[in-house]
Amino acid sequence: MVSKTAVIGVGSPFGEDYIAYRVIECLKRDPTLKIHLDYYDRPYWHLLECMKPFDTVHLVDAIVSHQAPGTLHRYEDIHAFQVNQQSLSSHGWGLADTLLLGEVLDQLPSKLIIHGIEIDPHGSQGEIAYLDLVSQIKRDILPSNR
Amino acid sequence: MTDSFKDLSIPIIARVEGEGALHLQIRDNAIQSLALSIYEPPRLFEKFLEGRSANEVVDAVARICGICPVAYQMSATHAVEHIFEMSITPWIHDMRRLFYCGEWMESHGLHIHLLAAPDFLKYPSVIAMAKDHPEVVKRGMHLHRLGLDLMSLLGKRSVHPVGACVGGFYAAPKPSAVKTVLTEFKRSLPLAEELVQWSASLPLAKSTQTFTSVSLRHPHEYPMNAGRIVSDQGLDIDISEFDQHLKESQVPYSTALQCHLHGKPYLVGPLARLNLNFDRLPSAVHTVLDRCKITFPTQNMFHSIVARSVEIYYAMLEAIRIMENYVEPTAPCVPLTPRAGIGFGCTEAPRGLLWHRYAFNAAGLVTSSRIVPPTSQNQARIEEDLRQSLMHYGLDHSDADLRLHSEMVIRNYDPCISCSTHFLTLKVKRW
Repeated sequence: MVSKTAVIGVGSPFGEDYIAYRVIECLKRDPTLKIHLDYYDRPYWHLLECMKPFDTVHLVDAIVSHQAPGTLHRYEDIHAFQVNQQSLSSHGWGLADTLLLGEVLDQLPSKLIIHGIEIDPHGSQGEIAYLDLVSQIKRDILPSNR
Repeated sequence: MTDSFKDLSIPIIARVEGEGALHLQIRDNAIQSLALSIYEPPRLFEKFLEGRSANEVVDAVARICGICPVAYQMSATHAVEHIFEMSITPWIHDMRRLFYCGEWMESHGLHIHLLAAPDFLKYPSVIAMAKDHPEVVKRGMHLHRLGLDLMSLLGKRSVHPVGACVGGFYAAPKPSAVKTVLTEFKRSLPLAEELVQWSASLPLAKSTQTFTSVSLRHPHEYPMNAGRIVSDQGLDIDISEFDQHLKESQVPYSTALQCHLHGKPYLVGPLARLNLNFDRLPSAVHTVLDRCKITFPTQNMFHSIVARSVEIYYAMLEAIRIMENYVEPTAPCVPLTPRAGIGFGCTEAPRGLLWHRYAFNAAGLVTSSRIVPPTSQNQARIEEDLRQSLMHYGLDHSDADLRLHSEMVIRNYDPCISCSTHFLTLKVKRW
């Protein structure tokens, strides 16, 4: 059965921008989760295509807003996400840009939740304890896991 | 070590991507100095490759660029196969072209719509452009995705693919998977034809410049993986002779090496390819271009966006041709036997010539490597273009206007520093 809910991580292999991949891999190891889980490396606008089959999408991404690394931010408003996200982008194009484009083209899922994980872009404060984050995100997606 | 390697006496200059800034000095309404500086720290890939085996090289170089990993893999595999004296099968030859078709579509599709088109239609970004031209943007997204599909078909994933190896591919796609992609390509072909016509109808400036085009040229193919290096000024050399004619040098303001042909800037990339290989395109492409009011060869740099569109259309035709004849092979790669030697690989990355040189020891490990990416080859040409374009535009414009115009000129080359040219730091000093 194809789930109408997805949890999609985005990022890159560089430094802590890899955090979403780790979260998705951790979620994949939970056999009770029946939700579609995926990860894309710098998908640019292709992310909009990837989200098309789903009514509800939880996006997981690294963000920089100068709070403590490991802080989990939650957004349902892409404009609030855009305002609070320092450009952590590839080729001048970040997740916020993709979502704003999706809004203009009417290609966003009916429900979109962004889980932004605060990272230290310089990676100087040690590894983020991402297992706690996985638990928090899991609690958020559990109502869709039916 | 040869004299040319002495030129590379700063081993940390292994730049293949970068972030850029433009420094401009104007005196008495004339450009006193202009410097495009790439200041991203060195990435040291050429050094990382030393001591690695052939297939480690193929996997490692894919990490150099998230947009054109196929190009890096193809130049590397050809160089290694040259050293190991390997001959590939017709199936591998075709699959490499198919792989490259995907990358051209992915890279050009992204550049045309995300980066270049908003400039020509006077929008600050594709997001603003999409409000007025949603179907154009959706078409671009679709063609870009088809490119990703092709890359995934052979590379197993589209970003930093892992399917290619020295001698071919680790696995052959199943005919059913090829058929699925083929069906979508055939259905979408009219979109690529529309793209060519649309790009040719853009309000592109009618300015011409004198520049030298350089690309590969193959006896009968539109060049991707093989050919001699030629120019429209009579250059016609084997790829092993690159160093004798195209010289890298360092400028004090950039961490990337610049490259000159016989001491002069030159152009690589889709416009240069099309200028030099127009006769290698199939009649279907010629027919579409006949309906447009742009002819090739052209000396108008702004026709680059049309050249990219033409190459997307061509890539789709070529991909369809290859996939229609697809047969699952008995073996997706030929075996390799390491041997010592020096070899060269040169292929046509989306942005132009990508030249690799490797030396291997008898144990099959890299002892030295050198990579000359297209962006460093175009740097001097970009500076030359900026000088002419800004003079033509008028230096009495405001700093903000000069910045916008400079960004448009730079973006037109689709440099891998396009990430930073969107946030170009322009320093203008006036007297």
